[in-house]
Amino acid sequence: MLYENLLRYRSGRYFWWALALVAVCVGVFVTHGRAEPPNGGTWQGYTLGTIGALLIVWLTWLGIRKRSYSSTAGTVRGWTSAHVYLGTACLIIGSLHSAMQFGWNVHTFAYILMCLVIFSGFFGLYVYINHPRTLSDNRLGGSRESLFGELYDLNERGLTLGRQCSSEVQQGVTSSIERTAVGGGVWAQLSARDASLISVDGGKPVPHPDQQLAIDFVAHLIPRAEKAQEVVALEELLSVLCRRQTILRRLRKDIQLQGWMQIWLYVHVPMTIALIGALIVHIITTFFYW
Amino acid sequence: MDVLLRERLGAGSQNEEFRDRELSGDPITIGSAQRQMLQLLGAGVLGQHAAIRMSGNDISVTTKGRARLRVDGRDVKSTKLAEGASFEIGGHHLTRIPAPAGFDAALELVRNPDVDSASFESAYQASLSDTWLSKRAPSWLFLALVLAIGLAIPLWLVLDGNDATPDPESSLITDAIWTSGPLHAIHNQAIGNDCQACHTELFKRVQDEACEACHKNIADHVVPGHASLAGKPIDRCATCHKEHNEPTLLVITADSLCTDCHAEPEHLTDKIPHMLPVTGFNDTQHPEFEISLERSTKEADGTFTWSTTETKLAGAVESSNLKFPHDLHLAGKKVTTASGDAMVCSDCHTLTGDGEHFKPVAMEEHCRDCHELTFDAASPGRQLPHGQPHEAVAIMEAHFIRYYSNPSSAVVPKQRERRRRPNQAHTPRPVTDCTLGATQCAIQRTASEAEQQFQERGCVTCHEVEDNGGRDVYNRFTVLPVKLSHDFMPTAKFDHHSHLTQKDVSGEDACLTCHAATVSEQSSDILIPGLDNCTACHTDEHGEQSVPLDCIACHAYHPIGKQPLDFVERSQ
Repeated sequence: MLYENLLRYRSGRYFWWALALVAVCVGVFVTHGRAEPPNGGTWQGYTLGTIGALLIVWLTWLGIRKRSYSSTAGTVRGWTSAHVYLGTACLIIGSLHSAMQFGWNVHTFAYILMCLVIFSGFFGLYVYINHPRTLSDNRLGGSRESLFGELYDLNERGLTLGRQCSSEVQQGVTSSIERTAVGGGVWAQLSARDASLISVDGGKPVPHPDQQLAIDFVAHLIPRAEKAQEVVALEELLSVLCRRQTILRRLRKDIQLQGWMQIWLYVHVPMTIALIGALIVHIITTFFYW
Repeated sequence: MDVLLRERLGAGSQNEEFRDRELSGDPITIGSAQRQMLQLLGAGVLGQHAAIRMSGNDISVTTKGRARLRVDGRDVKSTKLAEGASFEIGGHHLTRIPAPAGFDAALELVRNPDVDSASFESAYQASLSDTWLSKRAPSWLFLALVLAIGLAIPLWLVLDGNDATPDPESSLITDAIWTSGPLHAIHNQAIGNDCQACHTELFKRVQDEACEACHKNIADHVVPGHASLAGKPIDRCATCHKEHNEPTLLVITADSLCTDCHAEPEHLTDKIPHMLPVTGFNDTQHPEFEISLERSTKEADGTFTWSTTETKLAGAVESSNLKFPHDLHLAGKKVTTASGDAMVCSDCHTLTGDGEHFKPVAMEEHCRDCHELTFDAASPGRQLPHGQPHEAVAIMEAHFIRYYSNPSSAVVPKQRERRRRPNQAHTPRPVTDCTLGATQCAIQRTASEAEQQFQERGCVTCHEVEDNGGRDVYNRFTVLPVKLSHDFMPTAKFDHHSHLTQKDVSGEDACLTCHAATVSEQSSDILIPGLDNCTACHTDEHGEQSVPLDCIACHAYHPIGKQPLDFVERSQ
């Protein structure tokens, strides 16, 4: 709900707010006239800079507001909608303030940081709009916790069933379950790479993508089993392993989608803090050498 | 090392059973990650929790990072494991038991029965927050770096004194990174990255002293600190001369820099009572032009002095004491040059190098080809000197003395057809045969010829001549001195050169779009065009049919010379 309505919150109320703000800023900018090249040091430049700086501070405050659930100052949804639109407006206001005069200096550095923050925000907006539906479909309406719960139960059943089979099967199944990888490092999570391992016959662990080796191994044994009891156990084990395969696929997809929905924040947040620093440097140094 | 791991399942219950497996490696790793040799799950187990090592018969368990082992109710980082000794990781019990043959050691494991699906999830890195990624640490790091590199280090170099400031060429981080844009090329060459050459004090705008350190020969428009400047924006050099902009533009051309004061000139000075308000450049906001005219005054001793007066253009009359009808000289083939072409402006008016002023018009250079100064038809090669009336009379006298003293001149020369001035009736002089002797005849003839020259056909053609009617021919006539105005608007700038090409006209014709010379009959006519002539093409606004002009296009702010404009000083 949050994601779908982010842009259409109250019929795009903050879109019009942002548009009005940009219109005002463009109006201020065009009064520069031809006497002096537009720049950040004219009254228009100071006005645009002040608006931009206040906007950046206010947008940063959203990060604090989001954590303060007890606040009654508007809904998080509304704030986020405003954050998106006014953050985008910041790109234009900042550009007008700079009058597109760039160089190797602290001022352009602040501008670049602002762009990094805003464009990482655009990426965040994209994943917040696109991923939640896929995420929800992948979980089949459940939660990640329920997926892990089912995996745990399947693991326990698999281990128990494994003990009822030959030591060869028990060893293979145990190692396949114990060395199943879910998630992992940053790239493993984002790429949904399966780093699972399996140790066959007590040998060195080998890669075991998608649990296919264990499944093939058990399936291969079923027609060759000599005891009816063993067949039953192997068939049940096969069913458990196949179900595990499905759950693991869902889990990896879940972790991947969640990862992409979070990764941009690891750029957005630190760059925002760096931007606040750069903004302080920008403002102070402007008046150091007035 | 080879370790036998004996797992007790259902410990303490009737269904208690053991499951053995072999762990091989050095060290044996324990943790919740699936790559660990012994994978233990649960809330208290880290991904890579501990490692078991063997040296001789001793077995030691050491943890990694913030992981801890629980031994005898205490959390420790490592422990030595004697036979029978045990430790705990996340509720899982591990006890060293006697090793069977073929194994270096044996461990008994009782798993934590409370580990269930709820704690199962935490065994995996299933969220980016479980990885090395962090928001807080890089935030602080970047903030610190930005403040240090952007502010603290350059500031330290600035406050540490100029001597300690490293050479900008050799240091990456200096106050040069605070610049808001490039310097003008000249300033860049002279100052470079030495910010403090102009920015002498923190939090203080660039002061005029910094400019004047190099610009020693420039005078201000007004006296600094003058009362009329109170509240006005022009208080520093940098008000108009702004640096660090792209494109580099050292002079701000905003009209407001002038009109802020000149909109109300009564506040500026009482020395120029006719100073008119200016708020822009068009027919209504700019006053009509005033021009400087030269006027001569005859002193008691008979000499003439020239003075300059300023007067409104409308109705102004020039008194140069020269007679010159522009219309006649520009009337097609009526007046031609030596080559037979009709006269054009540039035959007499030659632009100087500044593109604004003209070289002085001179009789010898511009007039004499047509206007000869002959006085005796019998001697057409003899001419009078120009600009020397006494000398001219003396030359005539000497000429006629020689003439009448010469016996072969006894025959009275036939009176030549005199050159007539336009519109003047021809009155032939009677031919007389002088018998008074050479000297007297010559004196009479000189007096008669001088009258001709000064009153009828010579000097008087172009000059104003005073006749006191005296008998002394040397002192009878006074040719009034001529002074042509060199600059009608000495405080304004105008580029004649660029105006020689205009819409639809160029060259000589372009002169005539502004200067009405073809209809000027009198030299007293002022041919300087009025404001409306300029505003036909120029105003201070951008327009489809308007070429915008700002104040400094025509007016200079800084006076020539080193003194501020003195009228402001006087009014203080």
